Amino acid sequence: MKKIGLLICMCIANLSATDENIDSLLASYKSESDLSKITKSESAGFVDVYTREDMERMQARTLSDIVRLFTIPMVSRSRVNATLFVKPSMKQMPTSAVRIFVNDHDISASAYKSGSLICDSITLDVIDHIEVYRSSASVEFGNEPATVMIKLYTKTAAREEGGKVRITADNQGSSSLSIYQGKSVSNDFDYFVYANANAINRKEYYNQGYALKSDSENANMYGSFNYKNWRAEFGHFQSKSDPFLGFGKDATPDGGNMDTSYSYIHVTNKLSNGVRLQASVDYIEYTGDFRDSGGIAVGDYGLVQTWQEKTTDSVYSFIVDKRLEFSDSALYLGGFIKRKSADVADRYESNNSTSYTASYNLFSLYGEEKYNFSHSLMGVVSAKADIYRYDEATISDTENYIVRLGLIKNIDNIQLKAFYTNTYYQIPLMALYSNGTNAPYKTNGDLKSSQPTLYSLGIRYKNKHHQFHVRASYIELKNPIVYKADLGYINGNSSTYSQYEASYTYLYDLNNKLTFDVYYGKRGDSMEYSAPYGGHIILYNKYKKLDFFNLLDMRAAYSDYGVDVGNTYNWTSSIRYHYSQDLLFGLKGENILNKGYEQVYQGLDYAIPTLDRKIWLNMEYLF
Amino acid sequence: MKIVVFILLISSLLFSSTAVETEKKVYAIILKAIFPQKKSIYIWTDKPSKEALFAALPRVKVVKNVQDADLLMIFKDHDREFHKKLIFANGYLVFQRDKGNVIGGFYWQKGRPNLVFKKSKLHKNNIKIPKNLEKYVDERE
Repeated sequence: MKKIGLLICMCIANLSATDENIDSLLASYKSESDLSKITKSESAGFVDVYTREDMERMQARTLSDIVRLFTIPMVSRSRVNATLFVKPSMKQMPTSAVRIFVNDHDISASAYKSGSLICDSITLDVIDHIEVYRSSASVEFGNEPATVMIKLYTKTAAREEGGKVRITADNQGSSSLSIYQGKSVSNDFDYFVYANANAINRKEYYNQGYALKSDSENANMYGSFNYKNWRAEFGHFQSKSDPFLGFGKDATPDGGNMDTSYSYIHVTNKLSNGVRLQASVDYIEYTGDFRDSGGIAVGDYGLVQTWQEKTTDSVYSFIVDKRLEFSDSALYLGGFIKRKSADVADRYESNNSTSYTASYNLFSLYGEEKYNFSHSLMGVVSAKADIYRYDEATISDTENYIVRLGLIKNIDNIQLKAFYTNTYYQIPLMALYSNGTNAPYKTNGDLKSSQPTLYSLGIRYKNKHHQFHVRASYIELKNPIVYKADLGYINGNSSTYSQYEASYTYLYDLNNKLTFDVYYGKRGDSMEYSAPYGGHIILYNKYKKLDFFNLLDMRAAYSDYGVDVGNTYNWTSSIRYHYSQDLLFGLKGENILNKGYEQVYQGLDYAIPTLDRKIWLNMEYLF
Repeated sequence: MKIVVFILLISSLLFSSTAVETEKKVYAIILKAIFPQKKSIYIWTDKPSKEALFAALPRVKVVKNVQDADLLMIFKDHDREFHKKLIFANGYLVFQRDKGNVIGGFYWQKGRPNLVFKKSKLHKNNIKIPKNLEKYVDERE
């Protein structure tokens, strides 16, 4: 281990930095003017930023490539090959605990199911930078509740004034094509448009002779148009994939597929008095064809061998907010009205079906005060009231509240953060209503929202070359929502959870940096359903026209469903050659040691790697 | 002052202070290249928020009247011709549309800051760029 450390240090020391000249000044200016400097909010929680430079040098292709760098939550792979957010030692996070935004639009705001279904379809060539907020509350961002916010900020026409084509391919026959263009047409009007298509092949596994396939094809588009104080954005994601393990109790899928289509339009107008008005429409269509010889449990209809599922979600939002700044404080006030509906039409084998529509209105009022006690001490108080009014009489109307207190203290190079957050997780309609048939899920109209209370403390030390931080959180969760085959959705017993993480970054210069991090999570009952601890070594280097990126993602052993998973090590490495400023070629190896993290699934007597061992080729051309 | 401190605290600066310092260094190099001998350089800009930055540069005086300026720092596309005054483009649109006597530009394109001098305009205006900046001279007409 000492030898590896020495080698890494030598690598950094040998990779040169040149004297300050125009090239290095321009590189510094690029780094210092990163758009995250404008958008990042320290008061919103513990924040980690992944810059455009970081993402380009690691040759990240999708959001999944970035979430692998997270400490807590970790990322894994669900039964249907979707991204699964997992806290150390836990099974999985509630789906509504993590929200993903594209600029100010919440792309995980579906009514019926989780927005995480499209997480893997989010490609990053359109993204300028990513901010990840933890121990957060929704108030600062004026949206629905979550404790982890992934904010994706798109590239802007003003910074691009041109376009890019990127082609990637892997050794398993996958390929991906992205193209974008951004342009200022006049002083008052600019646009940015993006399109992407992917065909992704994954390694096939087998269970009792049944193939576990997870190939997928997906495409997405994005556009933004700015005219004076108006901004209009649209997004579209389309995905077709194999069901992987599916939902069968024995994980014996016999064909089938899943189709997801998601579109949104978001319009923003900032008035001259500082009031911001936003209106948006989301439309999600999801169809699933699940076939399993061992049977799929679908509520009151028991075990079936085929289940055709179709849901159509729509969300209409209208948001008003305003930020007021005073001499020693700032006040943020806002409110929104959302109309969410779900049409469900399911068919089970040939003789049973479910069909219904469910909808509700969500009214929300929120405010946040940031008060500057002194030049180095700031206090934050946030409050939010969410009022749910359901159209269906069998669902109880509810009111939920969020309260958050925070202190941020700066002492020279040290920053201390402390937050108290009392929030809740939204209940998806699939858990609340099924039109009396109790299929495919045994629903419960009287379910209460899960209510986490978070106590968080963080310390950061930062100077020109070194950054060190330690973060700790203690979480009490009241009314967790659990699903039991016999009882359906119920509120379980309260639980507690503690999480700790530490990281150190050595920034040798703009081009060379090294990060070590470690994390640990412990359930109150000491049970372990996933890796309880882990860590990363992340190394960015540049030598002349070559960029290097190395990641070692280590996770501890765990055991679940009687399957033991040993310590895992995912080594991902990439090299990128700048043939010119505008033409780049790259090579990337994922899970090179083939010892990356493995996920255990119910019904399967072995664990499956979340990441295949792959080699990617990459070509980028800017025009 | 308190507002400034508060804004610093909540980290919502438009640019970090280091970015402004670096931007100043770049402009200082540009001006030294264009006016190597001049004791005072009179600059007019169409972006009032940048006046303080230019005023802080060595030898630079910011003027309110275009006629009094040696160099116009233009950020927005204009219809007016500016009477053949030397123009430095600080936005891609200004550089690309090339209206008037645009001798070069410092602007964002392809996700990175770019510095370009136009060879033909430099020649026309008898400006000789130092050797260390020759790689930023665009040969195209």
